[in-house]
Amino acid sequence: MGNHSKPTFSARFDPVLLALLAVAAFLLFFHLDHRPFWQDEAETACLARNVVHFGLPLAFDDVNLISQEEGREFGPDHLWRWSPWLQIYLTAAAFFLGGFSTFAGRFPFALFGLLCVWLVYRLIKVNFGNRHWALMSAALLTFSVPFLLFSRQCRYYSLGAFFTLTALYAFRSDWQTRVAPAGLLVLSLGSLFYTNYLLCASFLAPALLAAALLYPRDLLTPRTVTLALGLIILIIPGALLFKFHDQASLLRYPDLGTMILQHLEKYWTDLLQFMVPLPICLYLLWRWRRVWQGAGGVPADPGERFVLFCALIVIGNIFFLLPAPQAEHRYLIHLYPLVAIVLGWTACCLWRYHKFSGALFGLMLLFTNWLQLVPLHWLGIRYFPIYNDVHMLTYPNLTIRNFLIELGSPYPDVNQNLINFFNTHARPGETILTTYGDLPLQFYTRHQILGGLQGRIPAPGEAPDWVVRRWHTRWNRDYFLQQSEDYILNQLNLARDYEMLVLPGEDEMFGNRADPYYHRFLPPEPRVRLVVYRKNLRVAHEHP
Amino acid sequence: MNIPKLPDNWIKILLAGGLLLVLLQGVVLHPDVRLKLLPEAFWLEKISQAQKECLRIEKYILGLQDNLAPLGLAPDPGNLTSEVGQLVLRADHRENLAKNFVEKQLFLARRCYVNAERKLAYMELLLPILETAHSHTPIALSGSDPKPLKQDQALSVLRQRCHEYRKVLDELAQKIKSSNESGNNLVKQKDSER
Repeated sequence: MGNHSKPTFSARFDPVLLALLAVAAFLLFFHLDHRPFWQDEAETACLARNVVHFGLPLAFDDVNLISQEEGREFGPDHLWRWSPWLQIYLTAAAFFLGGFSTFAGRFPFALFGLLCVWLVYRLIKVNFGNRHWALMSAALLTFSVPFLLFSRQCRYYSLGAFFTLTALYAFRSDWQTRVAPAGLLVLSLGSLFYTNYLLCASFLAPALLAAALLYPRDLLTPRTVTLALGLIILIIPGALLFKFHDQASLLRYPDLGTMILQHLEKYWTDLLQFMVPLPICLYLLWRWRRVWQGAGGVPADPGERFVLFCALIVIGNIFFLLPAPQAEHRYLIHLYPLVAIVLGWTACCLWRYHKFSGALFGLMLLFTNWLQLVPLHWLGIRYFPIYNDVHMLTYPNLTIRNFLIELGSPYPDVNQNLINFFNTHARPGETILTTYGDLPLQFYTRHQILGGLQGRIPAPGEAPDWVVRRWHTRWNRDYFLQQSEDYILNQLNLARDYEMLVLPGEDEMFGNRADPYYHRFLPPEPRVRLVVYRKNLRVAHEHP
Repeated sequence: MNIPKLPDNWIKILLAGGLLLVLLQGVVLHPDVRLKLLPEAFWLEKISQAQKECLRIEKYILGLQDNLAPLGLAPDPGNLTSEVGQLVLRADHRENLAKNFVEKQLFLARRCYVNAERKLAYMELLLPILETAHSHTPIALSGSDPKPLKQDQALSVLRQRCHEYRKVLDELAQKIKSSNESGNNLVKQKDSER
């Protein structure tokens, strides 16, 4: 016995971590299919279904067209070239094993979300041996409601966070001399590219700069060049396949400077409102003031140095995202684990300094959004759309309570109401024209769905059997009406040729969208009802 | 410059006090609490947010007018835009430049229009809700004060403004619509060039 005894179970598997993982698993997997895919998720799901059928992500299956950019995402062969394929093939594998269901589609991504919680713990524990920091960071990620919402989506978000973490894990391992961490580093960055190349570029560039500042000796090795070459070889096929230049063409702002400033405002507000509280930002800026002044002051403590490394990546990531055509909160999701590491470290420091304040700080960070929103509220700089519901993440709330209410008492959202309606009322072979939400209808019904953001409208003389004119008007990137809206306005006579049916549900803007500005935990107040138009029989006879 | 250092205990007290203040404010701002304890304050804040939204709509409408002015589609170009307009007139014979300018102005005008329209549509939906909610708050129901309440005035001003915005926006929409054809052609041309 003595020195040669095997480590006990609790020494090998931290019981608190196991409990935390169990909670995370519950929050990630419970009622995973409580709401149907919304438009973006349905895009991935429809493409994945075509992968199962045809072996390739084709945007057309002879009936329906998958597009949200008026057909810019593919060429004449309909091969999807707009975004990387990893998420599509992962969903396809899930569909292949679990059938074409909402649960199967979201399952792998929720699993990657769970792995992120474990990796955050392991990254800290293995590298810095600080169990409390590791646990606090993992707990902060577990109870981060935006992270949970995005990880429960059939989309690349948790995948991006996972590969960001594996890249950091490999970077902190001895990749200069060992083959396995070096391979993991290249593979992680390559996978991040095939998850979303925007994430890869916006993470890699600031990570390199931050590493040059904080870990210069680690970078100055011959292996760095080898790994860079390996990564380039890995991403070349994707770079040739995906339509980078077409994405760039979305830059329709005549004034690039205005766009960059608008994006800067959006990302910083998002960062402060949902990720890092303003007082923490100010404290860290003050603590590392000598680094910003260029007067050295790089922390000697390896843990704090790594926290600074993570903070620099987050800040740099935002700056690298600014010239991208769109600014969306989803492009920050891979940074949530890094933010959890920074906040976990801050909470532990505070706990060591003053137990009462540390406990209060930790509890508010874990279960509320008060530290994020209240200081902004005081300063009057909070982005606070008046049309948001008061139980959303834009208001001071007990965030995890709202999330649990959603899991416990789900409500049929706008997509579910439409799916139920058409699966009950529409007959086989009938066509549906909708101004938005075409992709969920494609996935869950067996009808031909036109309109949406596809730019595909009925052929002349073929009036659709059903029309869904959503209350929220949709415009294209040139600020013209979407073709479906224009078609309904100028080609159809709804009052004469269609019968209007008002459904009981609210005509929400999106459905199960995870972005904090749009996600609703509770049923919305019914302001505008869903309206569906059914073609009159007389018209149906005239245009059989 | 040496900043005098506070005693450690003071820092701890300030820290705990600040955090307690956030905690208390968080509880008070929580919708469930606020709607029960301070309903008037809650709706007052919503009204003030609505006023801010109105200012944004106004900004977009002004932007819309400014962008249409150099094209001769808006009555009052304003100082800045008239200068831009003069520059364009001088460059008018250079066809490509003028075409790019027209395209840019129309794009900016459409963007302003879409933003204004979107916000105004929300405001028009929200105003009746604010009015209903406000009329059900205890202060409004008390009826002891015959003078119109401040909030009532604010709401009626908001309603009047929204009415005016709608009128202006509808008029300007006609101008954009008439220019849509050329705008559409330009965009199509741009697409084909790409």
